[in-house]
Amino acid sequence: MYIRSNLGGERLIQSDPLTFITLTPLAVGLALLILPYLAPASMADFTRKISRSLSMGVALAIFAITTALFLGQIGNIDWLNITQGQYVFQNDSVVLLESIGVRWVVGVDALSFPMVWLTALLIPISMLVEWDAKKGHLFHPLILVMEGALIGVFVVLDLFVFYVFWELTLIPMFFLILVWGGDDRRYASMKFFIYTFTASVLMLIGILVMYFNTGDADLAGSLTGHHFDLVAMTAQAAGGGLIAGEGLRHFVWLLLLIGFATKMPSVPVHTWLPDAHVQAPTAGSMLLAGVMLKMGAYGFLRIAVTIFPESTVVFTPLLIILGMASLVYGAIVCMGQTNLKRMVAYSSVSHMGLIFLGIATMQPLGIAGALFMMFAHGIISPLLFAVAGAFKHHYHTLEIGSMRGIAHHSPWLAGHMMLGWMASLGLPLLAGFVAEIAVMIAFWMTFGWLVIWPALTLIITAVYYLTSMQKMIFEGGDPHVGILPDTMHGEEPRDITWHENAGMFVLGGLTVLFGIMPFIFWDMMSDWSTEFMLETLVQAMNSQGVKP
Amino acid sequence: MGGLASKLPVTATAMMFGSMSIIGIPLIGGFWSKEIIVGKTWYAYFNGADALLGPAILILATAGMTGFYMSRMWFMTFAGEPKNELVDHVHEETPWVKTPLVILSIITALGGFGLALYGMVDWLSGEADHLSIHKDTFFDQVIYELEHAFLPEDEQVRMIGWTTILLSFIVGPIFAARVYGGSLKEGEKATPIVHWLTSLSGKFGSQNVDELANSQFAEALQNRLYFDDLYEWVLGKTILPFSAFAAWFDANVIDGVVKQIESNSVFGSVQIRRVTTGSARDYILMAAVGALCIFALIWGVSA
Repeated sequence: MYIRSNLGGERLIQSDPLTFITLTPLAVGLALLILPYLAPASMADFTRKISRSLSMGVALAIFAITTALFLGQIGNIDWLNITQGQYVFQNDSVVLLESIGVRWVVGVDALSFPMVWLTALLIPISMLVEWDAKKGHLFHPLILVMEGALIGVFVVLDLFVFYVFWELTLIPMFFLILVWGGDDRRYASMKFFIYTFTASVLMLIGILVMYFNTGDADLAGSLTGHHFDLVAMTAQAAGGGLIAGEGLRHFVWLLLLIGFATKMPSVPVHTWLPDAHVQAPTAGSMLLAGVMLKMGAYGFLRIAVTIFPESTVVFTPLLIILGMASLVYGAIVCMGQTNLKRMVAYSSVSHMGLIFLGIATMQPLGIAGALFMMFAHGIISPLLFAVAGAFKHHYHTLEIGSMRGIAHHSPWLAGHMMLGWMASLGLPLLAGFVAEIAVMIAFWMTFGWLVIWPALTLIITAVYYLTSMQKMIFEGGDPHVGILPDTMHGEEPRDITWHENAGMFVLGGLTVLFGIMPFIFWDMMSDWSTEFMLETLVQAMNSQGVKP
Repeated sequence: MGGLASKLPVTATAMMFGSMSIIGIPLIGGFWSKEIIVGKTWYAYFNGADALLGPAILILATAGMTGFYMSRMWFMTFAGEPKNELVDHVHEETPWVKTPLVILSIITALGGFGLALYGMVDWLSGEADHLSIHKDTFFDQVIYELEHAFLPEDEQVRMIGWTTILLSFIVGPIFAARVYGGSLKEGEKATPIVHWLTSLSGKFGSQNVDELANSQFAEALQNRLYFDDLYEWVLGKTILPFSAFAAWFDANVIDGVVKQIESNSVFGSVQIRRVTTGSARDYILMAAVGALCIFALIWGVSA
């Protein structure tokens, strides 16, 4: 009924764009994956031929729609004035499972929209970078399925459907690693799946406890009398607490934390990440680091902090410990790595630590810095992984120090490496700096001299990035003499292909753009954080006797 | 290098003005700031700031050393006779290098005095509230600034000022000229702007410093007093091994716990699978044991 009433793509885009951009990639991707096995032979060949271009076309269309949402061509939204708890492009909810109260509700605000845009951006870029992947008729549709699942996580406002999408992202990524991964791909894909799945099951228990404490009769399922609606849960939590017992509240908060911290990932539940990254294909790594890690931070803010602000205040020291451990320990482990992709993976752990620190400051500036870190890391780390993937692709090794003077042979690759590395170590005028400086200032305002730890970590970050760069693309002792790695076996070194170059150019350009003009997303993020502080956290801090 | 003054006239001129400015040759750019810094430091010492004696002596000594090392650099590069035949092939060509050099040289040579005339010194020291020529005529302003710089009213400051000039302008450069200076090779001709300097540098005789240059002190200086080695040693003994240990720790302890859970659960499931033998006798035996247990339990509870 719902679909029929909205038939005709344009009307659906206008009336419910979020549903459209979530379901279209899922439907097209699945169709392209399954059709060749159902259709007659001649048609199957045809499907295989067009699947790569068709996937790219759909991905670009989704990106265009998302950009139009931001610029106001669709919906004409004023992104700066979305009040706390209000979602734009919210649809008329559709009942999916009447008996237990599951609905299809979508909506975005300043927390989720940058992530949706980031996803829509990274999908075509990761397709482009791996344009000539083998088994392309499966690879590209799989990434399209991934896009639907990722956008779904960020837009749905029903925790049941949220959990479904959350787990759905694992499946395409599992196959990406298992089929297109490196030598040790079986172990890595299993570890990735089971590790993160275990954590999300704990999160599911937390969600179920919340579910059984809801009580809005209008939304409730006919059999259980409860509902999964996030907006109603948030309202109930603000108006007197979702769960009565304080101990149970803290327990649920901790369950949610385990689920989200594993996804982010935070020390000590981070060890799935390096294995998964090293084995994953380039596009997989790009999406894993660019978007999937942010799911953890997004879920933490959207569910744990929003619904249980008091627990967040109580457990602030835990957040600081986790954040500091990820940041400092992650950076030190980075220095000890000899594999380029492993190093970049650990640097993600290190940077994600800043998100916890930003939230722990309980300052609008710190939370906005954490949000911007999610976005900035989302465009920088895919660039890093694209560069690492290009080394693997063209030089067949990721060992740091196995080559010298690569800049002679691959000037473009060396240039992109330099830009990405500089952006990640926090060079001013590049995107990463904005987030880092915001979190640091907020951290100073709240915790004073403790800021020395994150600040000193920046030096370690510079050390491991600069040494790894010097050991790969710059010369050794003799000028104008490069050393090719043994893995080349006499092959002539080449520069990156045009499609790798184009993808890296877009990412590098955006890094510069958002470094010079962060306000494009910063303004809405900082407005959201201020509102979030005033509406949610200040009361919680007062009730816990912490001076805001 | 050596003897490049005739091959690179513009570079030599620009370098000469730059070095002069850093040394603080009177009336050229850097003179105006250096003079005031040295003068004010000593003035503060004379007026009760005893703790400033050390810095004040150092700043004066440094002025002389600057005169020495900047002159040394210039003489070694541009004066004397070429030390190898590569010098014959050196020449200036593109205007992209020469034009900025000329512009910067002019600014360096005239900028300091120009700004001083325009009241910069008074403005910075708070004696004037805007930049202007604040004497009646331009000539008066020139006299005023020169007097201010060379004949300040305070006798001590005047003395210090002239000591600075003596050390940086006379003593340092002359020592440098004795060791490194020398006129150009026969037949080579430099532009008049620098020619006087090359020929002058040959007029102070020569002094052999090989003994000092080969001493351990010189070697220590060449190694920057071993500070780099110290840093490298400390980092190599602390941070780097620690990071290698952290990487090992992460792979073997933190991830080791995960792997242990994994292998234990695999081991456990293998053990449990053994019970499922598929043989009917085993199942009957198990059922019998189970039934006995239940009986025993009921017996125990009811008794």
